[in-house]
Amino acid sequence: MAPPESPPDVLAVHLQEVRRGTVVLACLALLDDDRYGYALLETLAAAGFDVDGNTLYPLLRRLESQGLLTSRWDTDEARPRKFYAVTELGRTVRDAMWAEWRHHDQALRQLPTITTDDAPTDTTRNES
Amino acid sequence: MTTLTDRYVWAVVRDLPADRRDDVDRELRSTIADMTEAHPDADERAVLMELGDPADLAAGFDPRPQYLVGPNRYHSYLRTLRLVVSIAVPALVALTILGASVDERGVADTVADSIGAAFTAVVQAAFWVTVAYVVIDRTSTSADDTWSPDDLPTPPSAHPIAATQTVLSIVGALAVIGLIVFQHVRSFVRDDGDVVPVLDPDLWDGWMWVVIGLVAAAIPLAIAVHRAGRWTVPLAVINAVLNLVLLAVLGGLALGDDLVNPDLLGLLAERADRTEPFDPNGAVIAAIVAAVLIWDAAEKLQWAIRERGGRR
Repeated sequence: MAPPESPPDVLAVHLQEVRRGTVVLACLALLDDDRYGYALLETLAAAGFDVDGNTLYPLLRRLESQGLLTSRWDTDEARPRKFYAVTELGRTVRDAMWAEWRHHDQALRQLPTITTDDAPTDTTRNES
Repeated sequence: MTTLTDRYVWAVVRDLPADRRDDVDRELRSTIADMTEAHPDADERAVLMELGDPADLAAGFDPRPQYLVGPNRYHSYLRTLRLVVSIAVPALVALTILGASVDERGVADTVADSIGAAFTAVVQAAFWVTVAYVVIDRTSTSADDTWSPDDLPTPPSAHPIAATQTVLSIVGALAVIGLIVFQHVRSFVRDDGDVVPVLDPDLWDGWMWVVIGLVAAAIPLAIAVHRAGRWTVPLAVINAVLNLVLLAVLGGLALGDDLVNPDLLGLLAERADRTEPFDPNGAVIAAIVAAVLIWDAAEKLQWAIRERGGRR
């Protein structure tokens, strides 16, 4: 008996769960150079993380209030922009998250039911 | 002129804490400008659509809890609400009926006042319980919530009907029957040494025995409940039927002014130097009896249904 096909919204919810932490990790990784919100969004999209502004902009402020990011207003250019950069604490958290990520990746690969020998990132990224 | 962007930004920032409103406003405008620049062919409308529902953004930017009662207190809140409402409504209705009987008000007024009192009780109870829970939710820190196995509640089916409860039911029924007999044989009121019963002596020709029988039926019922260990649905239904029959009998007698001894009323009036005999409001007596009996029936049914759920 074949398992019932998972409804698309169920799949979307679980994919969302898997991605949630990766966006934080990606932000902390990219913000070694300071960036403003929209530039970060574009960079993330180009790197294959399609995250909504709805999610990203509030996330940046949350990370800032947790002390993982700092921000400054750059008023030198024609349009003032708010730039974010990772803090020392942010780097520590990022490294710990990255170690955790690799640990889970390793552990998942040990499971007998995970048969994909390579690049699960390609198979899970087929829809948003 | 107010642009769509102005309206969008306002929709996001208006409910934010004042100290971050300006900063979010400024950043959002700069982001919208960046987006417009990046998509020269898209109009303002399309850019804002791309940003999505401002309510989502506002929720993301707001660090405060966005609920009145959080999920880990929600069910406790509902339980307390039910408990307080179920106490406040009958209490307030009973007080209203009592007040109406003292003031000798009519049936229609009494009913209307009772409905008003029940409504007030629900509104007041719901309001104050909600306020209390919102305050608790906002003020308690996570340290207050450290959980220990000692906090575990006991499932209702795990504590069988206590022996004291059974004994109380039986003693209660016997006491009521004793009172009925006592008030007739010796009474609380004497007139020159003569016994003046509270209840109409004519009732002993028939109805009194029905009342005594119905009250006495509570004794085997209490024993059956004790044996079952809890109020089962059939036992609760029997209890409800007995209560309703008793209510029909007492209510009918009260409404027909056949319940209280007319001699007693005359005597009391005489002692109070009143020319007219007291006229107890039959409807009020019936309403009080109804409140007590229906409350009891509903309570046992509720226990039975709840424990049935608990056993699944």
